[in-house]
Amino acid sequence: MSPAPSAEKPLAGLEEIKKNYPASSAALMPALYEARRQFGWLSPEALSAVADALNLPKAAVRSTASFYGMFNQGKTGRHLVRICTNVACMVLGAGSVLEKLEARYGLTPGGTSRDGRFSLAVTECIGACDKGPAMLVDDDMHTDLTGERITEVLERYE
Amino acid sequence: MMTLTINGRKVELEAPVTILEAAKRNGIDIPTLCHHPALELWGGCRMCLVEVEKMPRLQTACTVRVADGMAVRTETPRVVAARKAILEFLLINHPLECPTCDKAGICALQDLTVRYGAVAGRFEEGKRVFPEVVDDPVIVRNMKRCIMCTRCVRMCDGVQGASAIGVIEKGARSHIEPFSGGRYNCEYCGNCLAVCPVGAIMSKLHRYTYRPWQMEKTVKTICSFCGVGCTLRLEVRDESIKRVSAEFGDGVNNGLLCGRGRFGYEYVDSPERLKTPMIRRDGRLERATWDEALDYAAGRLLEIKKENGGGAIGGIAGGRATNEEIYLFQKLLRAGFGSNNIDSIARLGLLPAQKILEDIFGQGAVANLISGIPRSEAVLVVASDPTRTNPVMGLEVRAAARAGRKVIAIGHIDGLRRHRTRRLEAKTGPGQETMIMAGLLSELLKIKPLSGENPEFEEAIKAWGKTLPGPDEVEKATGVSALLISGTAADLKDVSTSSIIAGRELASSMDIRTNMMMLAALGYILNSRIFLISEHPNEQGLIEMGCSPEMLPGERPVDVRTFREKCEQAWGAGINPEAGLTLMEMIEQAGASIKALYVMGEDPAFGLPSRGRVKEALGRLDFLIVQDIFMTGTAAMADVVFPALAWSEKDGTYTNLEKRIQRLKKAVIKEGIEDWRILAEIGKRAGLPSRYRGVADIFREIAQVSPIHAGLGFESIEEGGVLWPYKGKPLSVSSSPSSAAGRFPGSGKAVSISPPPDRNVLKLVLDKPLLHSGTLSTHSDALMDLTGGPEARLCPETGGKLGIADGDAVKVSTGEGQISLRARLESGLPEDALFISNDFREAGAFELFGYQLEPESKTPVLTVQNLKVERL
Amino acid sequence: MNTKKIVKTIFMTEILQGMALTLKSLFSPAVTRQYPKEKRQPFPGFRGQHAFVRDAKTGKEKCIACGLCGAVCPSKCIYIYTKEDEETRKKTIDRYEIELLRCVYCAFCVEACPVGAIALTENYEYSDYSREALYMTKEKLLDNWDRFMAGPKGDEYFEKFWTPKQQSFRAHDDQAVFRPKGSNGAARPEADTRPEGVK
Repeated sequence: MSPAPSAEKPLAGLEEIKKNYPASSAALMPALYEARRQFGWLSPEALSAVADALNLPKAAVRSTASFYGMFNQGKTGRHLVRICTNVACMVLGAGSVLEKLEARYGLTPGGTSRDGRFSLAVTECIGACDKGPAMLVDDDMHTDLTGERITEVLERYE
Repeated sequence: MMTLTINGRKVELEAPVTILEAAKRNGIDIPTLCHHPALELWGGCRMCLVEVEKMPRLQTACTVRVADGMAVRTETPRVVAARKAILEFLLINHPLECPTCDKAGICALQDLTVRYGAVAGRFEEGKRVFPEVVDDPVIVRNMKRCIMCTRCVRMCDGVQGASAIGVIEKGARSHIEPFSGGRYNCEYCGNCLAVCPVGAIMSKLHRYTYRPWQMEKTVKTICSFCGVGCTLRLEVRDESIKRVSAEFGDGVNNGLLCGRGRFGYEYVDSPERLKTPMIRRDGRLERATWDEALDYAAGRLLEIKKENGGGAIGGIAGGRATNEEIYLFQKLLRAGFGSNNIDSIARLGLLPAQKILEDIFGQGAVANLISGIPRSEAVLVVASDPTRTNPVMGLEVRAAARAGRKVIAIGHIDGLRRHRTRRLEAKTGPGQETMIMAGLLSELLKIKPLSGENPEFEEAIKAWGKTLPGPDEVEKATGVSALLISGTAADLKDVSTSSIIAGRELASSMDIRTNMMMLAALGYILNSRIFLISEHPNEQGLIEMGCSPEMLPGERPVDVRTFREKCEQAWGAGINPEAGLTLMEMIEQAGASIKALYVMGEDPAFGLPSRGRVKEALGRLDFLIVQDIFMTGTAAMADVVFPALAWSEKDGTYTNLEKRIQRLKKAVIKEGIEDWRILAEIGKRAGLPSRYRGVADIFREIAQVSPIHAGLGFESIEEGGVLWPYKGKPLSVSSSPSSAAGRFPGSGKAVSISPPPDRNVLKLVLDKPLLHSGTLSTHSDALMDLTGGPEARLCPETGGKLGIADGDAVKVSTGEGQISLRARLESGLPEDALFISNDFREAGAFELFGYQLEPESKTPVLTVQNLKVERL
Repeated sequence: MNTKKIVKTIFMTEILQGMALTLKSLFSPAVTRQYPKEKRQPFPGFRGQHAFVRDAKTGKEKCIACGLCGAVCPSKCIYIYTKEDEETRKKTIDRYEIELLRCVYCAFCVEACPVGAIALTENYEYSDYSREALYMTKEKLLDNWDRFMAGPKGDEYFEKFWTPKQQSFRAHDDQAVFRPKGSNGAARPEADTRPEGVK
């Protein structure tokens, strides 16, 4: 995945997204999702490209992107693992899942595994409190995690 | 009508306002932090909480509107406790570095903390820390001090319309940053730092150099940069300006400023300022005493008058001189030396444009209030970018766009690109505006009925209008879609009030008369107030004070005897009845019929097109006097140089583009002689009696001589200025010497528009940088830090074609000359344009431009031949 | 004239009383000091000529250029010109001047100083023939500190006389105070967020 839009690989598909919304400012969130999907993270160049495509002020785009946890503005590994540590998940054992990740992949919150495969982020509630501990790998939701199950799940991601 | 009580006091109101506003009107102070009168309501800081009877919770006074019978109490123990708690929360993170914070003393948070005594910190947790950001040349950001009132963001978004900053991150980590995180790279209006209630965003110019209570005086005066005439407050310590600010509610600008006004004041303290008079002896300029210089100057001028007659002497005045100085200047030349050869840079556009419009509609046709722009239903911006040349007027256009008014930009208007405007812009830009305007006008004439108010004018435009090129023709010539033009016209069909803003580009054209006629016709059909962009603070004064070869003070034609006699009586000297030479004619005649030139506050060797030829011409003069604050190119060629005083060092009046006369006040005492005194002293030596004790006396004389200023007293010009038509009598249309046919240029004939320039050829365009205004502002360090130096702007596509990358050094040459400068690629620029400004001494566009005189108005029209751009 | 007065007049009691005092003084030690041979030791807390406190660690003045001394000065005899230090980007003094001829030696400047950067020394011998000599600059003031107040003397003065005794910065008694476990006393904000040297 290239880190930023370039002449060879520009940010694509925003025109399509724009069509679905009455105003370009309304298309900002989906556009940011799309940019993150294409580049893995939101570099300043990617944010600029979104701003230009939607004719929005760059500062406003960065402001929105920085507000939401899922729009990571730092470089990550190939897959971003986000584990919920809010009350329900924490009670159901998110802590032990985190410990397992550190032991197995050397992952600590905010860090990236040595092979560049995973990055770990601790996130607020992702809405799966009944099936905690829960995590998102990129955009896939995985629930009912245990120390064993998590390695099983993560091994599916290259 | 509604009645409520605030703190037990009965308050009556006509219309519902917020509790805060109601309290304020009755002298009750409710503290606020995030509220600001110029900004959108927010209600975020909770400082203004008040108790309202029958409402269970405390209410924010800034957002809740009053209702009949409401009982509000603003300082109950409950309210005070709440405010104290809020302050305590703010102080969890706000550092206690008041002793070294520049805001201390004028800090809202500090004042409130003292008022409510929330001095106790009960939290032991560490404060959030953000490093101070000093990367930017003029703005320092210290985000640990930020209280997240978001005033700056609301200012930048909602008023300035630059949207350069935003709230980054969330919760306790939230802070304000520009996109880059470091430098702002914005319009640098500095309005964000003006509204910051704490010391989070501050100016770097006066960083750590003073404390607010050390100021010796604060003087309200008028800005010296453009024709808007913003009211400034100069804060002075030790005869040096420490800070420039503006108070909301003051003046035309209502507290807003642009980068030039706020950060550009440093030039007055430049070490390069001229200090003593100088006389050329043996080819070198040497210091002289005032008496020597004055005697020499007057003596030589009298000699030349004796040998060659008064017509051999010419005068050029600058747009930064005060009305009083300009008046004395033209009086000196007219009455002292018998010459009508007086002109100014207003000739480059404002004067001829205004003259034609005034011929059509009568004097005062362009005297309209800037504050009316956002209130008109439609705003047309033609050819010139007000957000660059007259930034504060540009803000009103942006306000109109924000308020959903129909804003139409004809031509390439950079500053409105992000705003809701309808853009009639050819991809290939410059020189197409006339055509587009013609298309719009022809369509409007078809669909919008005329009001019948001015039958004479309607008669004139009816037949003439039929010959205007239609939208299809315009599409063919410019590439702007005919549909867009007719759609815009249809959109304007029901408009009953509008504003039109036009600039020098329309006037500096061989089509000036057609352009102005179209402007007038558009204005008439759309019931518009017309605004002419003015680049100098007193360009209007140059016109009104008679600094033109054909007009006496009060814009009275010099060839009408009654007007002449009035002046002759007051001045005790005869006036030449024939109009003199205009600006460029004087230069052309230098060495031939013009032997001596007196230049006041202007730099013809730099500021006029075809610089090489102008310099040569100045060299041919027998005698050249320059009165300026810096050693300009012209001053370096002069025989006598008088050091002038800068705008902050003298009293006087400026007339802005709305025709509003405002007082300039002396803020700083500087060694030297006021400019009017220099003129009066030379006048005395030339036999003109002078009994002036100060500028007030000069103004009294102006009021005697100029019919439009009649009855106006200097002291009676109060804050906010005096508005047109002042107290005097405007020149009526009927007494204008021109016949009806002459008054309406081109009427009775088919519309003549010169063919638009070839779209495939690169064109040189005179750029108007936002942060500079002539070479004057290049003496301000802060503005130089922001801009760096001369630039040639072009769009990346064109850059690619020419093999030029961003930042490359390029050589630009034309038949006139050549300059080297840096190239800057900017997307969104027209494809066939190369923008170069004439503001930097090392590389100015007028080195490249030639000119051609428009035969009737003698406006120099910029021309370019053999434009070549090469990478160095 | 009553009897008492007559007795006084006849026996010259008042004169005798006077002579007795003279006699007593004749044998008591002399009060007159032979200044300048003999110098007077000022009482503790004496407010003499000013000095700029030299920071023992940096060897420079402690002043943070806040200007509060000048603001509080009742006779407005302190002139402070400040600037940004090119290297540290901190606020420093450009010029610091005290016009001693106008000073009333109230020591308000010392009390107002948030970092204890200015002091009044015990030096009272500064009469001079020129006004210039009584116009203090930063260098002269620092020199004064070295000469008169360096060491325990200065500490003592700050401790005993110049630190404001009333601490109004404490939490109000009616408010609950959040403190981490184990700490006591009034809460104080983090020291690291204050400018260097602010107490």
